[in-house]
Amino acid sequence: MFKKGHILISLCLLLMCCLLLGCTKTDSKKEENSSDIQKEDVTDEKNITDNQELSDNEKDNTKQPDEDESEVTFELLENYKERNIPSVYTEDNNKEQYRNVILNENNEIEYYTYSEESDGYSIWKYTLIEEEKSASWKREEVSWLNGLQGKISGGRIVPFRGEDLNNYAVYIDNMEKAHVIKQREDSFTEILGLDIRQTDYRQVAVLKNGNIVSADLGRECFVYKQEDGSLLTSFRSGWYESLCVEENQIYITDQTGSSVQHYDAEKQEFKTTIEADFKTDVRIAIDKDDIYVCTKNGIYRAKQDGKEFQKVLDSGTYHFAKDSGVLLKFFVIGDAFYVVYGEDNGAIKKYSPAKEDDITTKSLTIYSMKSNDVILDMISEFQNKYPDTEIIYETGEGSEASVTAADRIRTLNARILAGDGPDILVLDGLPTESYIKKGILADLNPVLGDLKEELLPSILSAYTVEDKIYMLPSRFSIPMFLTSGQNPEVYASLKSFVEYSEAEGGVLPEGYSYFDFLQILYYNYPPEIIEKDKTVNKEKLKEFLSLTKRLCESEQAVEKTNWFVTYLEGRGMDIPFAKGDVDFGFINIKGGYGLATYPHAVELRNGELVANKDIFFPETLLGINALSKNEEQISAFIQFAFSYEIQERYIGSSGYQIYTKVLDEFANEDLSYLLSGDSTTVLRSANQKENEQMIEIVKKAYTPFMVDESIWQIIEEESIGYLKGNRELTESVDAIASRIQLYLYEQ
Amino acid sequence: MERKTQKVKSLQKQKRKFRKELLFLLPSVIGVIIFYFIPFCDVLLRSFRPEFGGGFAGFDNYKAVLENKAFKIAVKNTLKFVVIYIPILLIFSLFLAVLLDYLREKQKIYKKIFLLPMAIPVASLVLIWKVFFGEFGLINRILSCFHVIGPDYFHTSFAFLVLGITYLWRNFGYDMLLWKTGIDAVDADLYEAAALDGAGFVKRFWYITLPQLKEMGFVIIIISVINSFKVFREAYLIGGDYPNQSIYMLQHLFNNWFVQLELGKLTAAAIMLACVIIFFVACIERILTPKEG
Repeated sequence: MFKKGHILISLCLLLMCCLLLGCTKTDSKKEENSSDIQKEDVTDEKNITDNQELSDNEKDNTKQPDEDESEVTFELLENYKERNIPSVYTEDNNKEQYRNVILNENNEIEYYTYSEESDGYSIWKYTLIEEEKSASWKREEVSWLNGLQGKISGGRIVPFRGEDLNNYAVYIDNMEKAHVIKQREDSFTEILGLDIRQTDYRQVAVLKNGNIVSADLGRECFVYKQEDGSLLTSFRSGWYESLCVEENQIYITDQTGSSVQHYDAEKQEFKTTIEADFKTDVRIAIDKDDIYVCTKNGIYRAKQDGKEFQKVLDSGTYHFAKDSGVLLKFFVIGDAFYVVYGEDNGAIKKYSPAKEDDITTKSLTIYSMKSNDVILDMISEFQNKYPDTEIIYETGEGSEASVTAADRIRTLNARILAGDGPDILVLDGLPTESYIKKGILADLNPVLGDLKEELLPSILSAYTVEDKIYMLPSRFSIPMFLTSGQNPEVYASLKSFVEYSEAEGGVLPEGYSYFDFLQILYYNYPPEIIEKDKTVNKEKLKEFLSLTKRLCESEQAVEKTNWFVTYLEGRGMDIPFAKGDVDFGFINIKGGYGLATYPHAVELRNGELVANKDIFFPETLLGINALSKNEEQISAFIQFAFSYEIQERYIGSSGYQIYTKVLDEFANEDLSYLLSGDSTTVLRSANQKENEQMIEIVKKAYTPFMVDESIWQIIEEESIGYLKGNRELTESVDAIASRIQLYLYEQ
Repeated sequence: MERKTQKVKSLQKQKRKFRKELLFLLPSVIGVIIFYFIPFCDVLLRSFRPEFGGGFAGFDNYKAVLENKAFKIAVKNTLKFVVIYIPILLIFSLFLAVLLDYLREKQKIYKKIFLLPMAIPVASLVLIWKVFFGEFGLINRILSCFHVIGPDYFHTSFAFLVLGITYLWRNFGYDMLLWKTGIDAVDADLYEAAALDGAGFVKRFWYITLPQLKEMGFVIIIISVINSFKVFREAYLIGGDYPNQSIYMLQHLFNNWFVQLELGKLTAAAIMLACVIIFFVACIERILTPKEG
């Protein structure tokens, strides 16, 4: 007992000591921190007072090697507004083409374009003049480049400003050789001896000491001497677009593209790499002592000699959040960020703190299962047009990647039932049939009004149920067969196609995985496995799986796909098809530009592009939450989403628009001047006639192919094992049938 | 007169005491009303409403649920699970508790060891099962050495066995602990007296231990049944929303109906389940609670 009491007292004492020590430590830490702050203040004062007394060397010595400025914490910027900078292109100059955008020595944005004249190319410079509430461009000809007009090939010239404050340009001549020239009053001189690689994909800059920096697709950065063009040094780097120079410092991503390396070209040494975890395209800008990076995920900031980037602006619904967005340039001026995008021939958007008159009074919530570029684009444009409406864009992805689609739907349903659901739903992947049955979706007819006259009748009728339209796709794609003169019988059914493939020893491109084949065949030859009495037809399922396996064997399916994008995302195979390496193709044409060089490729193979019946794959299906009270904003957004203004916008490979006029306009486009290919095969894009023919097919499509995600997931999970040969057919079929049957029983 | 005033005073005291008690109970009563009673009433009301729009649907939803094949499968599996694994769990954990009672010295360490499975997260447990029984798991890899293609055990009726074993493994320690607490509460004098009368181990267990464990048994059965519903987590991690039919439980159906917004069916099924559980609890209580007098 005595012993126990002693132990108890000792333990209590120990606990109290620990507590006290802990407290003192925290206090001392706080003191350390506060003393640090005080020290900084004192140091600053000392620096000011003793500035003249200290020599440069002494100053250097006062800076401790461990003094880490990267530890400075940057505030996350909030309430930033995205604004469109007016386009430089008007009706008078809409033939001009984007060339470059730079920041001049007065921190003004200079926008360069070229126009094709009878005697060659003229280069134009536009200087942005920003006022309190408006912005305009001052246009002038870049006269010092006039002597170059006839020498430039294909308008490939990039004017830029050197850090030595001279004007430069890099151009490709008619002999496909790259030249760097420097302004000399009203003319120019060429930097001789330079042997930079001839490539259209290159970034060139000039340092303060006049040396030339060049980076290209080879992911290597070169520094040349201006005097004789000799190579001073080179080092491995990330993609060329990330190159940014200031005075004699070079900033470019490292080989992984995830961090920014800092090369001091004056001392010819690497400084500390500024760490980050960038996974997408990176554009770098410098402002004062800080380095900024713009990526799809947001804008990051670090001290120039810092060690780590910190996010200062989240991408949210900003334009640069789009997967398909092309970031061209990025600048920082004061507290504003400017991003130049590849869309609209080089559009500029400004991100700056919201002003008093920017305060939003209305709000609208949009939900999609996954981040959607078309929606992001709509939101960006809508907010420019309706600055008083704040749009909250929610995606089901959340922070946990492991969350399943069903979990997301459950969360959404709970919100909808609680009356807290989003106003507008992007229905891709959502149980649309059940939503319509349960009255979750409102009729779009009253909202669309007269706009319906402008939309494709075939698509409207495909979504009209008892005179009501509960959902409508903003875009859609067309599944097609790429043939090289085969008899249509060959691809009319899955069985005949598999037999053909087996007879030919493989006709499709190499590197397709088991999943690829399953997906392609399921989408192109959907098996009718569900009977009218809601039972699973095992025989049809067996036939579909065994034919898929036969195709996998004849086409030599691989474990992991060699393709960057899936069939549904619109993978391309024009070059191998044109060359004859591939005899047949399943393609998903995702919009006007998605047709690309396929018509020329089939022409070379004496084949044709054949639509798969009248099927189309809907994309960005929009619907309205019937329980929402936000009718005014909903109506404005839906009308905006299906307006000509938005429908005519080209957003990556997002599909064909449903606005008839947009399609008609595209039918008149002649894109045959656009060439692509390799050293042996060059293909032209579709000409006017081919575009017209394709638009005819597009207009005829009227059967939406909607995959029941639950059924598709079960088939995918249970089939791959069989296709790979790890499972018996009957076992797979039984498992699929049993699981699908459960799903059907639930209905 | 004095008696009367005393009575009045004691009544007033009792009233005051009751008010005080009520005051302390109030927060939890409010909580139960807000978070359980009102939602339950809402569910009850919804179960009598039609799927679309307002109005009164009578027993249509109940009829639809009872006719639903998925519901029948789920009920069958849930019942099968309860009927097979709960008795096994009860008997096995009681056996261990009795055994532990004889291991007087090392009781504590065994108790801790047996409770360990409860501390293991379900997700990691399922992962371990998948390493062994998955399509490309250890068992199938070994079988493939003999040119035998093994099945994906989780998508065959074998999944029911895996689920049952998981349930037993996770819960036997806890149930054993509860049984042990009941055994410890039995008056040792009864055993001594029985031993003096010449009763052996079996007779002592049958005539003293078991009857004394009735009340505890009631609690353990209720907890085991509740835990048997929690086995859905494992079933979901093994087979997802639509697993092999052998492990398709009521919670699968409820979850999926919520995805499809089948609120009428969902609420009707929930009410039916609640009624069954209440009936079950009442029956067990009637059987196991000693009759007074």
